[in-house]
Amino acid sequence: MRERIYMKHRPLPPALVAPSMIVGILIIAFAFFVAFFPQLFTRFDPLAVNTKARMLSPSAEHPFGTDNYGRDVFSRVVYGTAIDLKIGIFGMLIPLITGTIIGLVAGYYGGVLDSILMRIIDIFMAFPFTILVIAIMTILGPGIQNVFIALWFVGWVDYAKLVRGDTLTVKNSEYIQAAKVAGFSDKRILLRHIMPNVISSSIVFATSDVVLCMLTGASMSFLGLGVQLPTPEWGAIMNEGRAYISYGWWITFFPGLVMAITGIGFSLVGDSFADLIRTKRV
Amino acid sequence: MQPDKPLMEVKDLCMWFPVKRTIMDSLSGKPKRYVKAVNDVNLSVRKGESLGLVGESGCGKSTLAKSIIRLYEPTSGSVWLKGKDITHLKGRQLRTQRQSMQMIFQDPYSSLNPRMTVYETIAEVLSVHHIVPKENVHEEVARLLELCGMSMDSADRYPGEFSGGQRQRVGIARALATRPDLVLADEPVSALDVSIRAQIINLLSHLQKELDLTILFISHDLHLVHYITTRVAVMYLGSIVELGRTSEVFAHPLHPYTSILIKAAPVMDPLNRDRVYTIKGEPPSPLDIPKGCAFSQRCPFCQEICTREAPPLVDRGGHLVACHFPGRSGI
Amino acid sequence: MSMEEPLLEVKDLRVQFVTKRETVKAVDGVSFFIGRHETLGIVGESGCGKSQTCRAILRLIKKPGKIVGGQILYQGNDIVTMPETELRNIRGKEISIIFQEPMTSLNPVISIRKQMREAFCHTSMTEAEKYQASLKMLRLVGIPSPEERINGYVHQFSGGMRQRAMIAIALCSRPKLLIADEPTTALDVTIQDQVIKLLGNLKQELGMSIILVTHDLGVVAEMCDKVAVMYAGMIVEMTDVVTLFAHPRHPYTYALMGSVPDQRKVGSDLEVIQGNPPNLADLPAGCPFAPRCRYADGACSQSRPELKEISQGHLVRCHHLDRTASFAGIITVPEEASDAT
Repeated sequence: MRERIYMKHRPLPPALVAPSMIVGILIIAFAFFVAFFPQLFTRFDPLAVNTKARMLSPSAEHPFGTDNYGRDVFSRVVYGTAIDLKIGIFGMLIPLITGTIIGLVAGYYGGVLDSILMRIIDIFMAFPFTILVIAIMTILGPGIQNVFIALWFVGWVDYAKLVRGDTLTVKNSEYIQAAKVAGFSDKRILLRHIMPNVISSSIVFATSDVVLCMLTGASMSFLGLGVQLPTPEWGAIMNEGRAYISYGWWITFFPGLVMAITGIGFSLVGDSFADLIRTKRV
Repeated sequence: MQPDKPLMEVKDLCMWFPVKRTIMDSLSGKPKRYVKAVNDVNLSVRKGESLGLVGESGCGKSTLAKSIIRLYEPTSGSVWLKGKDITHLKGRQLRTQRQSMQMIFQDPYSSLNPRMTVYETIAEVLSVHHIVPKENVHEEVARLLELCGMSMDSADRYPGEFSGGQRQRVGIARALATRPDLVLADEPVSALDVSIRAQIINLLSHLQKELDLTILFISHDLHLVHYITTRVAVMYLGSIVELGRTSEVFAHPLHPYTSILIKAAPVMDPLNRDRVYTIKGEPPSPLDIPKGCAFSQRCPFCQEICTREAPPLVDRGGHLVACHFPGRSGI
Repeated sequence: MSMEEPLLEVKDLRVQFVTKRETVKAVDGVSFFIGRHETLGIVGESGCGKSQTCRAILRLIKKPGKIVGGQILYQGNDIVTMPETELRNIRGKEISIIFQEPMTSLNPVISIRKQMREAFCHTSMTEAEKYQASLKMLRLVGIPSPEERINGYVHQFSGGMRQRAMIAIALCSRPKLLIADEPTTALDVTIQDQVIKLLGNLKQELGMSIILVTHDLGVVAEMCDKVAVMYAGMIVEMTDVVTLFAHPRHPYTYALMGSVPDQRKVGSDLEVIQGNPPNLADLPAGCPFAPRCRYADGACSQSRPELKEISQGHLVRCHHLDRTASFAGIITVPEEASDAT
């Protein structure tokens, strides 16, 4: 049956351009663009207080309205993009690397090392992610640096578990046996042969992890633990708007909307990527 | 190295896999159990010969091959290559030594890294072991692929784009990249369609002649082993029961099991159907190998001594057999 | 071989798998018949359509596959157009089928006894009678201590025993026709031989016919009376087993025989069939074997040859029977050899 299936040498798979993937990439690209060039989008200073323009509802001049300090919400959201993206991307990146390494080592070598690591992972997984982050923030104190540290301390667990599982499967494949027989070192086998074959689930998870990190960062700000005033960060802005929600709904609403759309962008990319992997076109 | 010293030797090799025990088992003092896949095997291979290793599933032939090539660590015994004991090599020494013994795997669909192109797969072997200088890697990959009937056009493609037969050719090219002294071929054509098998079998025959390769050929297909090997070892439940020149063993099998195997294998001859023999029951599990001769429970000629004493492998003029009453079954 | 009505007659059977992307012609005009007490072997490589032909006989083709043409006449009635209720009387009762893998074709959570009892569901036997008949069947297939084993489950049996259990279940209803789809492919040589001999004995005892599907020419030589060689969904050669091995006339049959390792070929290269197996979704016009055939020419890629009867009971699908007349078989028939001297 397998002998029947032939694929001619093909150029870039057309599947990479699924509509959801394109939309997702566009959203993310746009978000990055805004993060790098906020000046292009607004002339208002996000920190500039203007008592004469307090609590103005959305208009042409102030698309997202102004807050109780008269600051233009739109420009605060624009300038906050960089911060939130940073939290999302870097909050995901370090755990991705550390978690993958731990998962590879645990899965490949097994034995006592694996048992210990698995028990540690079990302990971490007994607690909800956000609770753990809050607990660490309480110890470390507020501030964006500590948000990163907390995310890095907790985030690796999911990646380690994913990678370890796939590693266990892959390490008994004949091509890994062939690599051993060919006299390759463990390091080479882990990095060049096992890792590329186990990393796809992590990458899919990473896209939703970005969203999770952004949300967690925003939640920390919302609770007053993360970014300190007056730095604009979407969660912090939403927190500020809480008190005025009945007559100043735009302060909380728009940052939330922007966060939702950005999150959707990452999710779309992640989903499309997962589809590609599932149908083996990547 | 003297001309008639064997290239590779296996001495009293055992490969036992411990059966998982629960804490209760350890505490209650239950004896440890093992899957005794390979039991005291002695084998030697001369340069340039092709030795077949044949037997049914569970006989230990694949395990033996993997123990020789150190994919499994032998439980006891030793493996010698070119007069050197390589059984306990470790680390860098082991990795360097591996160049001399390579393996062709059974399943072409899982023996190539799906995320590396054909070129990368072969080039990696060449560069890790510095087989040729960096500038010549490209040339060498081309030479190896051509040797195995593939063109360089295929080199930039991924295994997923090839058929089973082509993948197996890549696997063979990879095995030959280190210019090994000995190649172990573990059921190299079992997973291929019938019409493709012939291509790979012919390729292996030609390569053996052209490169004076020494091959240890593992297969459950008797006719294939008869066709392609010069010497053959028959395995049953982890032990070698018969060993000798292929033509001799097939023409005059001395062990009852060999004779049964030969008679049982279907032949493309509708006029010659009634090849009668007796065999009882099914193979016992390698967890509980019977005392005495491993084949005693199923042997039609079993005597009292067979259930007591395991017969040693005795040399009868180049034809070795492990049986208390060899030659009974006359083909 | 009797001269009476054939037990089963397949006429121009066509099975296709239709998806959005392509139409795969799995079986493309297959015709054969099988008489009583006859073993017909259908031999070919994976993808040639032999398994689909067998499943079609009992209308077991899975979507998106469909029988799109032809007739399957069992005792005069066409299975293709039969209503479901009538078909159920035939499936498992008159015509039984066994597959390659007992672990996946038998129900792992129902005891052997219950599965055997299902085969009797159309009869008017009492429970006790069914039980006795089941035991008898298990004994017949050589399963020791059937009274104990009948209450067991598939996974408790060893490989060869499972195959026997599957055969026992299939034969409970004493079918007139047993279809065996690669029944020995996954088995060890000694077990395979036992199963082959068992099927032969059962054929005698129960007076049934067997359609044996396999890719192994050795098994065909051991078991079959008549053989059909399939390629790309059609029969390319069909004749009795001795003639097939003594005088193959189709290039594919000849090459297939030549490619199997055998002691008679020691020292020489095996025959190689150049090229790749056919793509059933995109068959070339003309003879499907032409791209790989040593004897093909322009005419072969233009029109598809018909099955022609070149001698009593020997059908071949080839334009160039003149070129294939000199094929040497893998066996020589003694009477013919002595005739020649």
